[in-house]
Amino acid sequence: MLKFIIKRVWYSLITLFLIITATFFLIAGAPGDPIAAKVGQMPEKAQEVIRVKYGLDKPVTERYFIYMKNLLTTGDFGESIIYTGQSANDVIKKNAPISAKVGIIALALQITIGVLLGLISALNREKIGDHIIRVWVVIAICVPSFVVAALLQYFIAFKWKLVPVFGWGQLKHYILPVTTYAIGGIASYTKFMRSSTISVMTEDYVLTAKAKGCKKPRVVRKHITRNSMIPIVTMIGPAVAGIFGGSFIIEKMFSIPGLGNYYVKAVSDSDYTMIIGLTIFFAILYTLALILVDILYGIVDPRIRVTES
Amino acid sequence: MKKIRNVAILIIVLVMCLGTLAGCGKTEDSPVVTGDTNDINKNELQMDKEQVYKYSDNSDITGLNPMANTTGPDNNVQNFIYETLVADVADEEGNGIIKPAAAKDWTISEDGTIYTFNIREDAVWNDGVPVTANDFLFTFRTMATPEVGSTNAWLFDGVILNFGESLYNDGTNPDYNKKPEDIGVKVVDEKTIEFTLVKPYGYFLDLLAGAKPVRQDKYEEFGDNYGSSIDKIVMNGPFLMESWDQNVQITFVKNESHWDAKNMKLEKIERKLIQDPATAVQALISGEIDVVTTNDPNWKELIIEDGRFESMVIPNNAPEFLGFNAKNKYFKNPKIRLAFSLAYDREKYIEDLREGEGEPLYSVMPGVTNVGDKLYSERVNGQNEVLKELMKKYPDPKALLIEGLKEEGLDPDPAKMDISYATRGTTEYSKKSAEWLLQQWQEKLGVEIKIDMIEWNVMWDRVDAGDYDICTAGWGPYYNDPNAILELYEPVNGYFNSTKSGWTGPDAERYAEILEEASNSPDNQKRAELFVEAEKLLVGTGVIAPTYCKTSTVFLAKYVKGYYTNPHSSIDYSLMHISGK
Repeated sequence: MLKFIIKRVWYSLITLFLIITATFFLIAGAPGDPIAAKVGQMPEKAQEVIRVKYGLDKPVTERYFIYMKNLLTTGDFGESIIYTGQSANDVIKKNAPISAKVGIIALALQITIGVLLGLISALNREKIGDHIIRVWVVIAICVPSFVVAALLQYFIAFKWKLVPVFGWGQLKHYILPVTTYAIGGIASYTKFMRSSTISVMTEDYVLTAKAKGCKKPRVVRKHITRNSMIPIVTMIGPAVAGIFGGSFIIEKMFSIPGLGNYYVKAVSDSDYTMIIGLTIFFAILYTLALILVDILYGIVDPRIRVTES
Repeated sequence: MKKIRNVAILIIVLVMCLGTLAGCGKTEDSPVVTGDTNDINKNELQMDKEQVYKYSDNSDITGLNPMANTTGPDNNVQNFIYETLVADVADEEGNGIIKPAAAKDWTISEDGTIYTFNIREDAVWNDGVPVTANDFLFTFRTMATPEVGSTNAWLFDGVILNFGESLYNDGTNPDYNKKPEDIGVKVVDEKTIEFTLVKPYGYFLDLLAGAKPVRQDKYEEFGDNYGSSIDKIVMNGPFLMESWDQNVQITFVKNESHWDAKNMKLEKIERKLIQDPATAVQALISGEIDVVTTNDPNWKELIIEDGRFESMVIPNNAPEFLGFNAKNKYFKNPKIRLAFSLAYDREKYIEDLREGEGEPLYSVMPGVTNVGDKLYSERVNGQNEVLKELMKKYPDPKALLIEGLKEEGLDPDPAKMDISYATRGTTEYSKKSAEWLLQQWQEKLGVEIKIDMIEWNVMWDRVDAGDYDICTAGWGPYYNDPNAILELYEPVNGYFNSTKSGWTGPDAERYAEILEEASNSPDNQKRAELFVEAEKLLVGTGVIAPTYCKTSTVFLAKYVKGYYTNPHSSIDYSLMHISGK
């Protein structure tokens, strides 16, 4: 297991290096530059003065080496070109936890409620409960999150005044964004859990367990649930990485000061340092999450651990 | 039975979850003020106890360093906390005026090139240190230092003596060989500062209103981090920044040590961040903010129905226009260009695409443009609307087009013309706008243009290279004077120089001469008349076709009094107070 993890970490480092390099050159090659976004209407001469200040007058390869040197020696993603005086590290430190708070609560709700509903639905297959859940799942998956957000905002906050329309800082501000964020996820987890449970229920070992005289709750708990969780675990990995990024649309609609916002703005402004900093951050999260998934697999299903070693 | 029990447990858990969520909303009730809870006594012009004004913006600021500010939000926020020598504010008629600020008065030499400002005795920074002439000298020298990369410095190039020569000094060009110490800014005594200009620029005070000061000791102490947070600045404005909760809220409190504090009625200003326009409207109606700008007809209706808000239509100062590439085989002929411009029904466009909100432009200058202390259009009695005259002269643009085609020896059938229109971005609006143009010109001229949907930044690259037939642009002027727009088309130094506009020849040369002549004249009336001459060349020969200028509807809570605005100027918060909330 340890050998396996070391190998995975080593691969991840190589992946990270490739991601940084590719991002750097892709952004450098893309049309538009941050100075144009910042001060595009200025005379060319005046833009040049500012380009020199940020070292953007140097050739791309030279900039790349300077950047990598800084990154490796100081771990600094560099000063944002748009947000003067702030480094990408500061922005991540300040905003990622905010996105994460909403994301973690929403993810926890998604998994628990989704798995429960999926199980209920599968165990009551073709009964009224199953039908209700399935209809709801289809609706929840089809309606885009910004529509859900707009409806919740309009009715719950604006019409009924149960919570504020927007804002950040207090518990009441979490309710609408978390709900919006969770609904779609709950539906997908329900759907996956349902189909996975149904297929597990037909497995031989379930039949064996029943034949041995196992009580139904025990069969469900020990034999069915555990095995049907495998596809869910696969989904959790990327989802964990995703929670830090936040949802741009939801953050925008509820004015949440999360990271999603910065990412989109950084790309549209070609804010090099910010884009690369954020990309590295997400890449690290993603690789970590994938390693985590591999370990979780081993816990949920010992067969996987055996084959790996 | 057990199954039912499980389901029941689940339902109970879910209900409990929802219960706690709903409970949160109720127990921590927000201090929502609905505006109609208190009695409104209209007869008394009395101020409320709580003088708090709340507004929202859709973007956070990028920082508090005046050397590096770039965005509209940066400028707005910095206006509260940094006081310039003079302020450009909207007066009670909504006109942009220059008002004494850190300087109590000033004198201008007869030839209009030397400005001397007397700084107030009681102007102080928020740490008690007096504001001195040295602070402004340091500010301007810092701006003129190339390594600083000041984003607004270029505005003073060619205005203040030796300014550009220092700003663009990279050691290689002998024309730019000055140092920041050489610029035409001089400290006469501790409270007196003098500026020497290259020419008698009538709009110098307007430019000065944007130059926010930094103080040497603090600026050097914080270095590159100056302005990255509240504890890394020193303020001298009518308000102090109390908190900056990034992407959530900025709170300002009245600066009690400001020289004009006794006239400032507002105690606190909250600037909330709301990105989504629909959210902002809902926040207004819920009483979470006091003002909102929206052009959405549905939201407007909802706000009007509510009855607690006053509406104002605010004109913009940024003209929108079409550019015809004068190097193109068709558009090198002024008649052909003009035919396209005249065939564009400005009123219909506003009706069809902008819900009827906008100002049709028959001059490239929006109505709110000033020359000195008077409106440009008033000074010249509306003579600047050169297109109106031309529409009478050429009632049939198609005939004019055919005449132009014959002059150029081209096929006189407009249907055979091969012209493409480069859109400004690929948004739905760009698409609709392009299709509208296609239809309009097909109807009136019989020309079928090709629509070239391109991304915004790619379009600018193409315009830079002069690789387009027709393009569209808008421009927000940096100062309130026709020159701010007209200089864009100066064939050598303008932003749309002849490489981009394709405009050369005697007309273009004459245009440059007129602008030069206007810049040398301290007489504003004469300058206004020269600008009309310039417009006759630029708009009258169809190098550009001014189209429209946006307007926006502002909804303001009725308890906010003394709110006046002008697109060129800042709001004068000392006129504002809260009454009857």
